[in-house]
Amino acid sequence: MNTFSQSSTEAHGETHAVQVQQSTGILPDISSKVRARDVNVFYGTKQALFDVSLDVPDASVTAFIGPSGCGKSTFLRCINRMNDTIDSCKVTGSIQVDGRDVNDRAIDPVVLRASVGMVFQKPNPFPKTIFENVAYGPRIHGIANDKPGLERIVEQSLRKAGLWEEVKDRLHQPGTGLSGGQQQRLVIARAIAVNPEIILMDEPCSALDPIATAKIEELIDELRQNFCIIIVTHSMAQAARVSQRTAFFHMGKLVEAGPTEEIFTNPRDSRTQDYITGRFG
Amino acid sequence: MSDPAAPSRTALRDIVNSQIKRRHAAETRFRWFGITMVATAIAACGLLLLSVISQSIPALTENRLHLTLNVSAEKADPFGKRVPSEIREHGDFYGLVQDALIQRFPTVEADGKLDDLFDVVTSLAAVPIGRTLAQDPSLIGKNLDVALPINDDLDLFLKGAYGETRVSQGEEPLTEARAADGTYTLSGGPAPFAKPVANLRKDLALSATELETALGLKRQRLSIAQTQVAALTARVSELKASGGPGLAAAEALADQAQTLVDNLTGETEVDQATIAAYRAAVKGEGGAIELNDDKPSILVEVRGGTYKLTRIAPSAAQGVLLARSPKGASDYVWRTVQIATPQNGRAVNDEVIAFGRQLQSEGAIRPALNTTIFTNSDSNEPELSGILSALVGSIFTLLVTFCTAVPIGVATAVYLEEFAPKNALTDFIEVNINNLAAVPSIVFGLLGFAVFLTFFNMPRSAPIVGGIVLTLMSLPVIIIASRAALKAVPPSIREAALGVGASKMQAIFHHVLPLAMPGIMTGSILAMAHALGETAPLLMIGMVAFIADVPTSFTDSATVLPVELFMWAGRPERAWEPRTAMAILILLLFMILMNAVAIFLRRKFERRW
Amino acid sequence: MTEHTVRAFTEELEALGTDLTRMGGYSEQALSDAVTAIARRDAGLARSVIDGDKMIDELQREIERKIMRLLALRQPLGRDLRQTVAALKLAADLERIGDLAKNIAKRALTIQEFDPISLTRSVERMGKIAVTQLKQVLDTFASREVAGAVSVWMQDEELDEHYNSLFRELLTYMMEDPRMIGPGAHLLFVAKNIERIGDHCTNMAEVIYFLETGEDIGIDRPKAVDPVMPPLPPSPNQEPLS
Repeated sequence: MNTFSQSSTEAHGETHAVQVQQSTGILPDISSKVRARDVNVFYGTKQALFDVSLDVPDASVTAFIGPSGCGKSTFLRCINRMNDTIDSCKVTGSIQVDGRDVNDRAIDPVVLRASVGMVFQKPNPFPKTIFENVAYGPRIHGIANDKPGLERIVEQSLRKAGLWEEVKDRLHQPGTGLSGGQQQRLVIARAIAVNPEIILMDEPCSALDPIATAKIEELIDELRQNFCIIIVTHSMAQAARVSQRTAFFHMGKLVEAGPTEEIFTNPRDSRTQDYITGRFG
Repeated sequence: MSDPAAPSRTALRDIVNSQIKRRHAAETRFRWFGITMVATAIAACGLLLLSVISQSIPALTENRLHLTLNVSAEKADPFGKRVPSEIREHGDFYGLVQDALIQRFPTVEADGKLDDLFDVVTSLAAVPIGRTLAQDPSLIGKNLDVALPINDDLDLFLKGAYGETRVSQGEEPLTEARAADGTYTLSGGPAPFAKPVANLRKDLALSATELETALGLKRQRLSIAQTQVAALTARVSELKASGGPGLAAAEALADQAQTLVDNLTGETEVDQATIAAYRAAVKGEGGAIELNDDKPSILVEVRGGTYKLTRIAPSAAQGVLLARSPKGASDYVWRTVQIATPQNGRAVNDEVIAFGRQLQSEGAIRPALNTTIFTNSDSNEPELSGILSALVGSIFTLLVTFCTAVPIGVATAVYLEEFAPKNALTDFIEVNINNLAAVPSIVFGLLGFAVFLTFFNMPRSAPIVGGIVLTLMSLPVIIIASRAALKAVPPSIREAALGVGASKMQAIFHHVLPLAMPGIMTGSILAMAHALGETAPLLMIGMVAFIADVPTSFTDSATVLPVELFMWAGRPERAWEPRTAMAILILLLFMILMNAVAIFLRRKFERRW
Repeated sequence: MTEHTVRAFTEELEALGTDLTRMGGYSEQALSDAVTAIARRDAGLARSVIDGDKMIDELQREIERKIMRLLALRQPLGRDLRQTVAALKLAADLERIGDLAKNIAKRALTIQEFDPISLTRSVERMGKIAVTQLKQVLDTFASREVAGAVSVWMQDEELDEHYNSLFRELLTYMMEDPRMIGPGAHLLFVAKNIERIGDHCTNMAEVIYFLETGEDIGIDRPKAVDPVMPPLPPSPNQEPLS
């Protein structure tokens, strides 16, 4: 908060974009969970992200907002290297999780994805039993191989996801038989079953009704004490409700990032202002 | 608020309403068109099935001769050592059968009809007896009951395949008077043969009319051939005069044509004579009719003896004795048997028929379910032939195909769909796979012949070679079907698996493949069903041989069901027709079974996602 | 600034601004008339001010209703949020100004029963400054120019000084002539009301500053020394009153 001084009267103009630029994305302390510097992403010859530098702190929720096609999902998918599945995708720059670059050749994306979990827009449980859905990850990563171990992990994860009471009697029924909101919570349980450090959520509530959405938001609130959560959302109200920091992307660039309260009451960039007040397009 | 467009809304509705009838009509027409097409297809299938089934009915049952053999040691085991291999090799089992037959007709040798009696059962039918005795030599010296399939033409006759056989009973007793030349005169009552004579006249009149129609056609052909000959002869003389080339060829053609003319002329003359004879016989009111091998046969069965008539009149008849059996008849006094087809027009003569009918009336020949077709392998005799070796050959071949084509095909599809980079080479491969699916199957046969048999020297006609050739043929279909099934799995499943930290292989094998399984299975089983019915490529690699033994390994010579069908269909004997139809039905059944398995497996593994 | 994609939103915000401007106009008129009523001893004018206050109250209720609706239905963010909250505060301030003007008018009616006093002129002068301030603030609201808000914010000191000197004068007057106590006391109240109106204008300036910049104008506004209250000893944490 600046104290008032006469000389800064001229400085308080409409646009701060020229001065502020990307530096709002970088946090002063060095303890951020995810640190991205000068990330550029190309799909073939088309560039999707331009010099994105951003810090994401631990034990909090960071929201990425922006219009469609602005690159927020692309950036999200860089963090757990899901863009590797797309052949024409090329990523430059550094993305560090806990100080280690994720694109380093020494890191196996399979192992990375065990510590960076992902929840998708449309709930996509495996067409297997509820138990199998949650147990699959721990099993393939060797976290637990015996039945009691797996059962314990499954129960813990389902409890943390707030789904245990609803499904404890039908663990061996197909996961696809649950309602949309339950499926999404199952997917979250699946993601946290391997005890990740970061959970990435790509518009997790866009296919759900308001009650299911509220349950997921409450879950996110609980989870953020133990995980670093990054959520991409189209709903600014949701970003405002759920996150502590918000980053606004536009046309592949990071326009502004900062505490959620500031972004939504007093954003510094006029583009952010226009977006959150609905003056775009 | 009023809108300048509002008035046109009603106008729009009117337009829509006016069009609606036409649209409905178009839809109804389309629906009926579809129904008609489906009905036509079903009707065609139904027709096919009906014709095959009706043709195969004679092959459902087989008539068997039940005999009690007196297994004499001299005939069964000449060396007397009771060694099974020696028994099989040196025993005269047909001799045992012959002895048993002679027992039933003691006077047959004196009557000079031994050969005809032995025609009832072929010698090959006795081979299983040898197997039984070799397995259990203690049976030698005892009585053995056997049931042997009878001669195929007799079997067909007894089933009524040689046209109508009319049997009429006689009431009053018949006297048999033997003449000096060995013929017999039968008489008794005022007009014992009135009805048979009337029937005979009817048959002859019918045959005469048919023959006349055929003769007319033949005469037409004759005249055409004669004109041809005239033209060719003119050409020959022309060439001779001018000395041009092609003289020899022209002369050859002229000779051919002349031969044809001669044959046809001969045939027409014979036919004309036959028609004349028939007409004469029909005309003779009240008089006697001479019977010969060109006219329908009439047999008279009385008191265990059968006569073949040479002359028939309503009051009396003359004939020769064919068969005599000690067992008399109990349920009739005497009866006439009229066989519409003349002896010259059948493959079984009256003597064999006489013996057959006698044995049948004694209960020695009885029909039974035709199990021979399932238990025996191919044979020269229709009555002893079966599909066993072909079936086993088919199964072995399909096994090889399944075990090679499905893994390779599915793995290729997985690779192409999931791992292959999207470049020109991959496109090239894809295009070629699609094209291979359309290549005629016989090309694969040629490939198999050139590569496997000639280059690699693999055993000819073996299931392993056949299996590999069919694999090459089925691969494109399996690959295409599997790729389609893999493509249908939504990418969200893959992403979910990868997001949890599965490697690409784990994602594919734990998640994508199980979901694609129904489609893959359907494709594989359909490809197998298709391969089951393939004939052309297997012909090229030599599976057309006559295989009498059931194959026991993948490298034994074998044949497959469709090929055997093809061979049976080409054989001349009439008895092959019902058996071929039966084998077709078995093949169809096999295919329906495989499709049913495909549907069942598909339903079972179908998972909703 | 570009329009909202949903045009109704822009229209609602603009309607709010229009209402506020109208309300400001009424309050300004009321103040000006009240001051004139004191100076010219115009009873009719005073009564019209008193009657007109109802309309100002009504308008404030209307504005509040609109703000509630805007918050519920549009969930404004960023500048729109500040604008909506600012409108709420500005309406409250304007309503208070209207009430204070009504009080001044009431006192004007009472003062007319007395003989004219010369000090009425000072009150009139003070009132005119307040009117100018109010006008300036309302102009700033319309023009969105932050500099105007800042200058109004600074002027509070001037008005306070006027009040202080008027206070001393009136005290002297009342001490010299006990007959002056009656009207003098009324004038004191009038002066106090005007000073209060000045404070409200300063509030409005702060609100407008926040609306435009998103930041507070500052903790301590410049204040004149209160003639009655002795200056507080400076606490270790606070800056001394300037």
